[in-house]
Amino acid sequence: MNLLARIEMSKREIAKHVDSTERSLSNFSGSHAESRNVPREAVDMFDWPAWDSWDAWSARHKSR
Amino acid sequence: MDKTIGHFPRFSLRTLVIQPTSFCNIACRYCYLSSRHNVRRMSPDLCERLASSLAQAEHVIDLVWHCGEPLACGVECLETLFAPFEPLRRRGSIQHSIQTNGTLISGEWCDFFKKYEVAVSISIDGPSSMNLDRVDRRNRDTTERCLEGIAKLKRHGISFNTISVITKRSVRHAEQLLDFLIELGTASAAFNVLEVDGAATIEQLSDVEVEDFWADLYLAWRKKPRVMIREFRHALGFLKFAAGDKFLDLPNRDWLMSVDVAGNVRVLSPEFIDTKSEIYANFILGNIATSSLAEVLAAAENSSYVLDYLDGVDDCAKNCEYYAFCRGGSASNKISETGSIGATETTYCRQAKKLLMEAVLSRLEEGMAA
Repeated sequence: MNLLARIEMSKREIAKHVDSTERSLSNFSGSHAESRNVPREAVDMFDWPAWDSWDAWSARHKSR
Repeated sequence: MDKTIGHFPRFSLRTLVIQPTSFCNIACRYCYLSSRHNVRRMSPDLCERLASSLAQAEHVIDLVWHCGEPLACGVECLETLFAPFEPLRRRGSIQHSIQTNGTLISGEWCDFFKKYEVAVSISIDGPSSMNLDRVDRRNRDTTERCLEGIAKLKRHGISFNTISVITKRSVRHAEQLLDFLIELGTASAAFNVLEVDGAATIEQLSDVEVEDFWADLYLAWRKKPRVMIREFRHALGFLKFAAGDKFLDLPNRDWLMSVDVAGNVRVLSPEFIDTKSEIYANFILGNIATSSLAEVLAAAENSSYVLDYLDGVDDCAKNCEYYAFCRGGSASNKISETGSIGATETTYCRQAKKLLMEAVLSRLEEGMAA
C-alpha cells in the first residue's frame, strides 16, 4: 500500500493523535508566544498548508 | 516557468541566508565548510544594497545569519551589518534568525538579541558524551562553553531553539537526548541526521540506526511532549494535511537564497556557498554589489543548475510516493552524494524524510491495531 493510501486508512488515528499532541504541547509551549524573543517554530503547531515557508524548515534543517 | 504548473509549486523568496563571516571559532568534525578558517567579514555596503533590494519584497523575509559562526564577527560588526535592515524590521518586512554554536554568547550579545528580536538557535548535540564531535581547534570538548552561553540566554530571559546532529554517539540514546534538551529549556528541538559531505570527516549512520532513532524519539516524545520537535511537527503537519479533505496544491517553494561573505548570490542550498562546480560556475548567479535581488532571481529562473534540479524533482514527483512530503530533496545532497543535481533519491532524503515518515506513520498504525 502506498503512502497516501496508508494515510487515508489512518485518518481518524492521525486526527486524534494530532489533537492530543497539540493539547499536550500547548501546556508547555504557550508561554513562549508571550515573550518578546519568540523562537517562531515553537508557536505554530501542525498547520502545514499555512506555513509560509516550507523550505525554510529545510534551510534550518541543514544548519548545524 | 512551465515546470511550476500543476503539481509543481512556484518559487518565492522567503528565506535569505546571510554569511557575515565564513570563520568559525570551533572545528566540528562533521562540518562541510572548508572556508571556516577564513576570517573575512562581510562589508556593510553589501548589506546596504541587500536591504535596498528587499524593500520591494512581497513577503516577510527571514534573514538567517549563518554559514560560519555569526557571533565570531563581534557585536560591533554584526550591529553594523544589521543596521541597514532596521527600517525593514521595524515595519515587519524582515525578521532575524541566528544559528550559533553558543560558545561566544555574552551579556552584550543577549542585549543585541533582544534589541533586534533575533530568534536564536543553538547547535548542541546533547550532553558532553554526545557532543564530542563539536570540538575546538585544539580538539577540546566545547560542551561546557556552549552550556555557559545558554545559561546567559536564560538569565536574560531569551528563549532559544536547538539543533542537534545525530551521530554514532547519540543514535541509540534518543530518550536520553530528549530528556537533556527538555532539561536545557529549549523551546523547540530539531534533529539533523549526520550528513557526510564537504570537509566532513566522520562515519555515516545506517538506515536501520536512523529508523530506530526516529521510532525511539517519537515514543519518548509521546511520553513526554514537553517541547516541540521540528521533525515531528513536519511529519504530523503533513499527515494532518494529507488526511484532510482538501489535499490541494502544495505551498510555494522557497528559493532559499544565500549571500556569501563576498556578496555572491546562490539559490536552492546554502551549502553551495562552499561547493565547487565548474559546469555551474560554483552556483553563483550574481553578486549583490552589482546586481539587485530581482535581477538575480530572474537569472535563477533560467540558470542551468536550477533547471537541472527541477528535472530531477520532476522525476521525484512522478516516481516517489513520498514526494508530497519531501518535495524533491536537497540540491546540495544530490550533488555531493551522486555528482548530479538532477538525481532523485539520496541518503539524506531516505534518512531524514522517508524513514522519519515511516517511523511516525508506523507508530500510528500500531496504535490503530492496538
